[in-house]
Formats: sequence, C-alpha cells, structure tokens
Amino acid sequence: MMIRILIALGVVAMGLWAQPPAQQARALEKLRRMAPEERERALQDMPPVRRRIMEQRLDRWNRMAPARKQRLQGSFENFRQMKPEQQENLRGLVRKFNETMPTEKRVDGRRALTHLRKLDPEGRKKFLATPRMKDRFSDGERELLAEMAQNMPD
Amino acid sequence: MNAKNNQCPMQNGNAEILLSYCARSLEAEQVAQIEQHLTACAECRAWAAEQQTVWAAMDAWEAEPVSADFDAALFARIASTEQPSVWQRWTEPVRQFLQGGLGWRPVLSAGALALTLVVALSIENPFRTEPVGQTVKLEAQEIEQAERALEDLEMLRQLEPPEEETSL
Repeated sequence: MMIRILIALGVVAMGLWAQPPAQQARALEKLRRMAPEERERALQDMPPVRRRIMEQRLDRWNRMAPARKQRLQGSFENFRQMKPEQQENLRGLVRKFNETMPTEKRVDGRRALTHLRKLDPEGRKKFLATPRMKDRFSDGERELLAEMAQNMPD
Repeated sequence: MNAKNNQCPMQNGNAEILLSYCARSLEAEQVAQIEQHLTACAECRAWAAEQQTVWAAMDAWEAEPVSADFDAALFARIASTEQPSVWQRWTEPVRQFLQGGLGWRPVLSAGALALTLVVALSIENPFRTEPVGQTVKLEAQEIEQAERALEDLEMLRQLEPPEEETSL
C-alpha cells in the first residue's frame, strides 16, 4: 500500500514537472512584446550564435505579412496537436531535407511537397513515379518528400 | 477512340494531372497536351470546369484583415484554453492510475524517475545559502520555450510553397 502511494505521488510529481506546450506560445509572445533593451538584457547570457539565430527568427516573424502569419499560426497549432514523437519525427525529416537536398532543388522540393499534400496515398505514389519527378529527384529524395508529405500537419 | 482513351486522364486513372492543370502547376508542354485533350473529351472538360470554378472562388476570396493585436489575442486564447488547471494537473495522473489506465511498468518507471529527481534536487549543493533567483530562472526557461516556438515556426515556414516567400 505504501509503495502504491509513493508511486502515485511520483506520478503526480511528473505531471507537475511536465511543461504544457501552450507555454511556448506564451513565452514567444512575451519575448515579442519586450522593449528592445529589455530583450537585450534577457538574451545577453545566450551563446552568441544561438542568440543571433533567435533574433533573426523573431525579426522575420515580426515582419511577416499578417495573412501569412495567421496561416503559420494555424499550422503551428496543428503541429502542437501532434504527439511529441510525431513532432520530433517531422523536425528530423525537415532537418534531413535541409541537410541532404541540394539548395537548387529545395524550391522544387517545396513545390512538390505542396502538391503531394493535396493527393491521396495512391496519387502521391503516381506523382512521385512520374518521369519529371524521377528526373529531378533521386530515389532517396523522393522517399523523403513522400514521408514529409505524410507527416506534415494540415 | 482508343487513342483518345489512352490519353484521357480520367480513363487511365491519372486525374491528378488534371488537378495540376487546374492548379496551373504544369509545364507549358503538358498544358498544351491537356488543352488539346479537353477539346475532344467532354468528361475531362466538365471535371476541369468544376475544378476551375473552385480555384476561381479561392482566387476571389480575400482574407479578412486581422487586427493589430491579433497575435496577442490569439496567444492569450491558446494559453487560456490549453493550460490545464492546477487541480487537473494534480488529479489527472492519480485519476488515471486509480482507474487502472496506466500499467504498472510506466508507473514504476515514472515513480522511480521522480524519486530520483527529488533526491538529486534535495542533495544538490546543500551548503548554498543565497536565495535562488526565481525570476531569472523563469526567464531563462521562457527564453528556451520561445526559442523552441520560433524554431518550429521557422520549420513550418520552410514547408510552405516557395511562392509564399513574396509575403516574407
């Protein structure tokens, strides 16, 4: 009985430990609203490279057209609804896309992804097997695109 | 007739090429072929006309302008709807445990991990006397959360069609 109570307490402690994902959005909004000098102070202890990347992303987000921002927020919400392992899987796939797909192919890759997402699994298979896709992308690249299309949020 | 059927996307199960035609994502050569086929095939013509009506409606649609405080309101709403109450956070694991929703193995693992953390935290630097800066700690945590959110938004941005780049 004692063990059971201890275990229950342990589980409750883990529940409290967990970070609800909504905190990410709240933290971003808080950072976005900070005065420049306040933000400067808040970020001063970050490693310089990470800080520069973060500032660039924040700046890009602030300057984004409202319609696009709204669309991305929708995607972000859908992404957050995914299970953590699905989110991590998609992050890994995008990382692989950026690391393995040559720069000149990425634009076409993104176009192909947009089209693939409109198709059902059978349609995707056929589209990826078209001569144009085979000419443009290697087997591995086409497999990656298929996997990304399958795992992307709505 | 056979030759016509061989080229007909609807007959040979290649409707997505018509979809691409309507989405204007085909090469000029393919567009010419499809248009030539459409002059001879009523079924495809009707299908394409229907698709184009949809595309025309989508092109004509204009998003409502969003207010200046849209971001703030949206994030506040997300936070208010998704943040579980303290009571729910306390009771949910217990409720699941008591209802038998959790098997013994994950419960044991979680319990052991939690106990380990509690012990580790309680013995960490026992001689420290200065108070821990709660605000500073929270800010550092929030920065990491914001960083993660920006990273995910950047990833999602990269997954959008390249045409969207014109709107930054």
